[in-house]
Amino acid sequence: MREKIDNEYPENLNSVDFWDEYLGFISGDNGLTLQTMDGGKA
Amino acid sequence: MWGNAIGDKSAVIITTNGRNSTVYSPIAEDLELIGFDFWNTRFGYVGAKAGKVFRTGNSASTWVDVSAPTTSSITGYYLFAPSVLYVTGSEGYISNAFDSEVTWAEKKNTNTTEDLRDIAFFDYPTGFAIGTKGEIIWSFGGTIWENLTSLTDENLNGLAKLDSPTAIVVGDNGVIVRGTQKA
Repeated sequence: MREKIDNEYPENLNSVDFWDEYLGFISGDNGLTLQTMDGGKA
Repeated sequence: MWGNAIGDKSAVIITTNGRNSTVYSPIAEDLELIGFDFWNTRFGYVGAKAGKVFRTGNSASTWVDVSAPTTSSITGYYLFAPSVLYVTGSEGYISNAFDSEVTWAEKKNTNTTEDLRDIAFFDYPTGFAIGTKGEIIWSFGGTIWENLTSLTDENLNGLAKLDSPTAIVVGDNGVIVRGTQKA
């Protein structure tokens, strides 16, 4: 199953990396960095 | 902490101390480097346009040309081992090499002409790749790839595997897609 995750930031997202199954980081244009601590659920 | 980055004019920048200092270690050819992946601190690959692939075995001190026989730009990598890898490229390109000489296989039947940006495998036979216009393709075995129903028309740019069935894909205009069944 695939689902879109709500994201309020409209910047282009370029890369994603996870330290483990919970903690991950997404980087995007304009220096945007997003962090998740629950495996990308939020 | 060890890390690296790539860029225009064949730039490869290495740090071994958490970016307190960096070493500029360019490739001999003047290329716009597009994608890279490292197996460990010593062994890795970078790619560029026209199938250009370079491999290092000494932390980017020197690079060996192991280019693929394609006009596609090489964008993404998945390494099962230092010399066992799959790559993605523009115009639906996927190939693999299974030996230390990096003998590239024929282009895989990907059933897409979209520019593929990255690739990952959940286990040996099951992998997926992403690309422009929301493209997500899936394969069991890596030879023939099938299109999956996309949740977006935006370009998909990056992916990460969390655990055996779960992955996150990111793309243009803030798109984040979470897959929980090996794609």
